[in-house]
Amino acid sequence: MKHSLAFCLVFAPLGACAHHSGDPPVYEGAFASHGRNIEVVVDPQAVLLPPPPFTNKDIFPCVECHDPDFLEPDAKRRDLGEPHDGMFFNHAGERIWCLDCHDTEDGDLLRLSDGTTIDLIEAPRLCGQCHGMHYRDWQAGVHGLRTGHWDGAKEFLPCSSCHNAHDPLFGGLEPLAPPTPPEVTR
Amino acid sequence: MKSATPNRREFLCVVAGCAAAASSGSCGDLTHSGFFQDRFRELSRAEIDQVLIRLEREHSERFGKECTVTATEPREDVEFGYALDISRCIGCRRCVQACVEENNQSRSPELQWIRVLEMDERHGIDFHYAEPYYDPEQVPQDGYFYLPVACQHCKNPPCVKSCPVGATWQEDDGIVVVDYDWCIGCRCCMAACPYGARHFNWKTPGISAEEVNPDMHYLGNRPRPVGVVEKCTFCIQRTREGRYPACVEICPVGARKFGNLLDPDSELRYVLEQKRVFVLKAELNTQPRFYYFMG
Repeated sequence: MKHSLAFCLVFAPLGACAHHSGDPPVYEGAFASHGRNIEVVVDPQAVLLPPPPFTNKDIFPCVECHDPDFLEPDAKRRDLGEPHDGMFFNHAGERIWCLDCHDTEDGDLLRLSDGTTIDLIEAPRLCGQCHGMHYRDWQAGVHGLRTGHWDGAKEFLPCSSCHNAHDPLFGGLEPLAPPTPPEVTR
Repeated sequence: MKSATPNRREFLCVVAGCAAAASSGSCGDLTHSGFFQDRFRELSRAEIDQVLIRLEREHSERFGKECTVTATEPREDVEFGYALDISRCIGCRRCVQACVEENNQSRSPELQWIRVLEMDERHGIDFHYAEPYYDPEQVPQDGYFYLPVACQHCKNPPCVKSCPVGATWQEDDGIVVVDYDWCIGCRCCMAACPYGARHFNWKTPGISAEEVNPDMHYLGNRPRPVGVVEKCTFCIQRTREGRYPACVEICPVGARKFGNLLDPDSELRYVLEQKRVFVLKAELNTQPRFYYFMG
């Protein structure tokens, strides 16, 4: 799977931090889309890449500073300006803030709209609450990268592999060299 | 079915056989058995196996490492299709590089099966304004979108109709292939293809031992001789084994989708049913199996 490896290398900086919890979850037969059961298996190699997407170790894990025993959680929605050095927030403007996604008590967990807390690696469930169309497409393998077998086990990358949750717009890349024009070849 | 009367091939065999016997037993790059090999589609399974053994030996000797050449056949109830999301493609050309490496394309002279076109948004899909040689510091550029083009694996392929010797044909799973040992290099197929998807080897393809991909298919990525035409095969050596093509797996934005058109649960069918889909030059009735969509 050398091309997957190549992909890993391209995005290695995004996944500089190792995930703090145990084995990656396996989404198997968990999703249904348009009446179809879609078997989705997370490749452990792929999962090592992304979560969490931060490259700044000063802001992760959250609970190192946001420990409820030492820092009383303030759930009041407010403008934080630049909440942390080096953390750029550009996601839905002022319409959302930290605690719309992070759990109030444990910032390293995510909180769904129904109050359920989930691990960071399960972020697609959270993202799908707002981005339903993309979530459906991702489940079907049409949004995002999918590797493996067209007729069997597939490996896929969760949202945060390609999108920084705090600044989700996919950035640009340097293009590889253009083809040689014919007149130069001859 | 072979005809009862002597045909061109048999005549050439006799003439070339005399010439070959008179010389040291070789004819250019071809060995005896290679020169007398019949067209691929008329070979028995035992003959194909012999051909594969010969090719494996030749390529292993040439590159100094073990090469395997398969001839995996199409599966039943499979018709391959491809979909590309032009709203996601950023024109980074990672697919071009992956294709070159996977399919043993010539590095020198340069030959690439995928051509990524930079299209001006003001003109839409108008090939008059397509720019394949764009080279900014970063892509995507404002005001442009990107349209990668390779073989469209048409259901009604003009290239196949134009070949005077039957060296290119459509397999049962929809892949349009070339028998590099039967191609005479007339380039009629290149003139017939409206997508510029076929490429001619003007010189012996230059591939080093470090660069060569040793997992080969007879109709796919085995190194080609000089003077023949080649093109995208949907990575036949991978897809007939159930894997995704190399370009699908390398795409950093996941714009490329591949699957079985006959499987209602495939990604391809999802795209065709849920997205806005179009094909290139639909007015030519080539009926491509390569679909472009907006995700």
